[in-house]
Amino acid sequence: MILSLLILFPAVGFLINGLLHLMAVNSKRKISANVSGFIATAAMVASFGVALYQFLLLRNIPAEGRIFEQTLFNWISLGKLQLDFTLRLDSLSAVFCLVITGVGSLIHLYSIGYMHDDETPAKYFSYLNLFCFMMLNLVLGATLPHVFLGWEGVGLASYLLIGYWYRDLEKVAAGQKAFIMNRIGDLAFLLAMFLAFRATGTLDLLQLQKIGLEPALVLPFGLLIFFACTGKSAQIPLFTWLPDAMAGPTPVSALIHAATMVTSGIYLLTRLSSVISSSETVLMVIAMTGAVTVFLSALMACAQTDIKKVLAYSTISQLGFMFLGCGVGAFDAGVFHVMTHAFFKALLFLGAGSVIHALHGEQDIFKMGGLMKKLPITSWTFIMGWAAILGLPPFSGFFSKDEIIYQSLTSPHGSVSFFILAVAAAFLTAFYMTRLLVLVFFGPSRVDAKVAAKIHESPMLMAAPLIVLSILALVGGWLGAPVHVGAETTTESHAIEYAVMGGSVVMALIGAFIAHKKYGQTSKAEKVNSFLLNGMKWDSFYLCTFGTGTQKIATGINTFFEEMIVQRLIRWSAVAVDLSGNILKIAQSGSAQGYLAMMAIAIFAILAWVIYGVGQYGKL
Amino acid sequence: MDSFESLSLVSPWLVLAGGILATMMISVVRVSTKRPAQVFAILTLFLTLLCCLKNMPEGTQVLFNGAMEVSPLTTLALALLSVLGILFGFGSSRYLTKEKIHFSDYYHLLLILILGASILMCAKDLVVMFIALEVMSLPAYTLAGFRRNDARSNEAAIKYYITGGTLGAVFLLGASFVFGATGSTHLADIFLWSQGTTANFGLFYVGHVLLLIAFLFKVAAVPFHFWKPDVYEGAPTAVTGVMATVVTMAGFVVLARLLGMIDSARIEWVPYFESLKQLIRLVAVLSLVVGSAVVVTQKNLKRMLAYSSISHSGYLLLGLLAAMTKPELIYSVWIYLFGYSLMTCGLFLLISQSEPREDAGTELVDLTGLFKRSPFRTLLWTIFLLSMAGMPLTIGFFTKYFVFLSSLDAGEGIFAVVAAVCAVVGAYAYLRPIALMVMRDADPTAASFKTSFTGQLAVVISALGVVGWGIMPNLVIQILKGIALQH
Repeated sequence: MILSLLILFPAVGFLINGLLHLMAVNSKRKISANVSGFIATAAMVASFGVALYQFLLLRNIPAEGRIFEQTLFNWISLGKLQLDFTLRLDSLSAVFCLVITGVGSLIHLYSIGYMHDDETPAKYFSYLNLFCFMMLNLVLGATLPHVFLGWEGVGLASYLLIGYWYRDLEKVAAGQKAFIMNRIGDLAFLLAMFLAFRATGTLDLLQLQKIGLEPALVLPFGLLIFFACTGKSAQIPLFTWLPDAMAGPTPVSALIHAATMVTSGIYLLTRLSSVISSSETVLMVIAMTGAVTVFLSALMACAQTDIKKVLAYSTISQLGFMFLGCGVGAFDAGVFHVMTHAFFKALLFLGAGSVIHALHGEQDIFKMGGLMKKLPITSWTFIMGWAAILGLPPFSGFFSKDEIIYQSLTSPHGSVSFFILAVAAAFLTAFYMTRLLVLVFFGPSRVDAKVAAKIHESPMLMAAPLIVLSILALVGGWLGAPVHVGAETTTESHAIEYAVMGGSVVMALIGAFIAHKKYGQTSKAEKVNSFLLNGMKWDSFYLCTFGTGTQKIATGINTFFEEMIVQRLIRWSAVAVDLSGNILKIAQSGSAQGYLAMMAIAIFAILAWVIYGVGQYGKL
Repeated sequence: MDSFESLSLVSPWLVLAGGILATMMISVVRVSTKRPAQVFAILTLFLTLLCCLKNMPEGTQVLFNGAMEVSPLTTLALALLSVLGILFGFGSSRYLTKEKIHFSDYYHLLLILILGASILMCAKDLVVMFIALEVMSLPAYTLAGFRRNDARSNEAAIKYYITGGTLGAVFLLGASFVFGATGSTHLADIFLWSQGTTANFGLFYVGHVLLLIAFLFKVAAVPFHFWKPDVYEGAPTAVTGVMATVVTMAGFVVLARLLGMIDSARIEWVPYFESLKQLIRLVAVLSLVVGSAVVVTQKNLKRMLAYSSISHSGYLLLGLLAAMTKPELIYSVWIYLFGYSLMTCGLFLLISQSEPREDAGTELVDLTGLFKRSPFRTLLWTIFLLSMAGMPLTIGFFTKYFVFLSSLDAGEGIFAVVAAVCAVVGAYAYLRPIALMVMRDADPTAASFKTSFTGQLAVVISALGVVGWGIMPNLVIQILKGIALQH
């Protein structure tokens, strides 16, 4: 049937490009980026066509029966454990499929231009197709092991793509860090899966939703699943890999680390929402983590000077919004934000890529400025993305973000503190995004003279996806939330809704204004100190708060998580493993007598224990 | 059963024994020949494989007055051993030439080893078991020392021999204790004895534990693992691969048999059985933890795989532990053994084919930048290493997965958690070589290596097995599950 074509196209693309690459290495020839890029993009576009077709079919079916299933083969059958390799499309997975294949196609297209001078484009495109194949498996899998297969697979593909430019040791290390942090999360996923199987005897997601878990097990199950999601979706405390993952090519950051893979945590939470939302504690933990992440990472984004790092922290913050949405029970708002975020954040990343491309690899925003005239398409599309992430009406971000902020206050699981953190984060988002925008595109140019002469707008291959995405960033929210999960959330009073709406827009505008005032005229490559010299009276208030203050707090928080927790954890576990390894090495002396002595001791110890045991039974 | 039928059951062994004699004769007739010995040995293994598949017994068949028994599992295991033998036979000829190892000696010892392992798996009498154990072990000792001019190889052989001999004595001691307690060396009689009485139970306990220790040593479970890294490193790589697969497989089949020696269903034996479980638990956890922790620190590939196999023994023991509670769960052990043999076989063939140094085995750093030199081989390495790490879509995922599941099923959840944590720690070790191969540039001075077509083919077949089985695990599982129920 047609559903399997959805995953088949990227798989074929992966195989063809993989073979092309092997042949290229063997014959020491170079495959043109156009050829392998065309194959990979065609595979994704075909897959998108299938997804769209299935989605339209799905809409014609009444809401209760909106499920397409296709069983490819009998995967495992083992007593109680009956697993088919089944693809299942419902409205939730259809949304994700459309985003993966749609945004994925655009990013593939963009990559053809971006990776034009790369030495091994076939390798790059095969990894990219592999990623899409795995991601589609993740969202289409009908059973937990199938989802896990995709879960591990996207981790592997992400690892390969982060370390793609492997000549840089730092980038290899970044890839490994991402992989290991994800493995920690994966462990939790495995344990949750075992727990569910033990309790219900099924691994099928649909049946699991039907049966549910007994109340005592919901808490451990929910927390394990949630922990797995924090790893994949870069939430506190497992978030530090995402900024490092920016070492990969920029289109990869757009696809994997903004639009798709990092949102798989939200997918899983939503998929299992009916199971986990019966526990208040689980929901509260999710909402708290989301709220804290949304605020802290927005703060951290204010202190970044690397254009991609700003966007990385911004992604973490936006993911925090989605988690907050899930945590207050508004899963559909979370998924809505996944969709709009995929549009505008992919747009922003690709725009950043276009800037980096134009400036020949420069990523420091204090060495940019005034690019508006030279890069008109990039600038205008970037401004559209900026408006969307700020949540200005009528851009898509407005609808989804506003819904989450509103729900964080009025939902039965919501609270004022979540609301305050969310609004503060919306304010900070406006601040750092405007800072980014004015530093890069407006004001006087701080670009090195040598580079400045060569600045040029990106080729059409790269500009076209930007234009399409900017249109999506504008209209993507007009249709409203694409899925409805769980109970309908009733709107209590329109007054509150309008107040929240207006309030968050005003907050965003204030943030944008302050940032504009502060950074609009930055002419030197100096950072905070130059602003402290600014003597305007009313400036001093926000300079204390957002100038040095923000810098210090943000760096402090970052240092805390990075050095105090993650680095220590890694260092300690390394020390523990090394130490135990070394102790065991002493036993591994190399002399046969030593080994015999050791084994003799072991045998005697066991026998002593046996005889003691026998004595206990009194039957010797 | 008429004699013809029992003849057909033992026919694989007869074929093997004939092949051993023929291969041996070749070296008598013409010392310098190479190919004939290889061809003879592989032909023998093919015939054995055919015999096994043709004469698959229906249910368990008793032979030689209960001294041995043949079941679908043991026949299937011999078939797998033949396949492994064929893969090693094809894959290691270039290695043997490089190391100047005598072809016919190597091949007939390989055949004897497989014969010994197969008989060991079928033995139902402690005396037969001991003889088979020695038939399997003596060629292994000899093979370990085959690089005659290398001190490390000699040292490995001596170490293996001394420790192995000592533990052989432990087995005999245990057997005599059991005989003293029960008055028989027949496992069937001992089983009957256990149904009638618990007299002499202390004496029996000591003997039983000693028997188990002898085989825990063979599978290198902690604390009986010390020999393994040294022997793995010193022995010729082709031989290490054989030891890692054939001996481990035989060891676990016998361990399963020894644990089922008494009627555990009887209420009198329940406390006894519980305390045996304690022992297995302890050894399993120690093996898991030690194996996974040390594997991370290793720099030599063969030593790394030695520790890796120690942790694999830990997973297998967990499977055995689960089967002690619910006998039908033994399927997880068989699946693990079959999957583990396949990936280990491929990995050792790869190492033996990529050893750049004359004097030592492959260090991890020798793999640096392999991708640039040979992307296809890197792909093969990656498949096997990911399978070792338990990545889905390879067989390594399912082997571990089923052990976790059956541990849970048997109420040993906490050990499933320990094992899952160890799997994460161990995964890091298998990731390092991949990173070295793919993400570093090659040392321009690194020696390039050549592989024979057959060698390459053998590795590709095992890789296809690892991936194919990983994608469609059902086929093999169905067979093994059927067998586990009959066993």
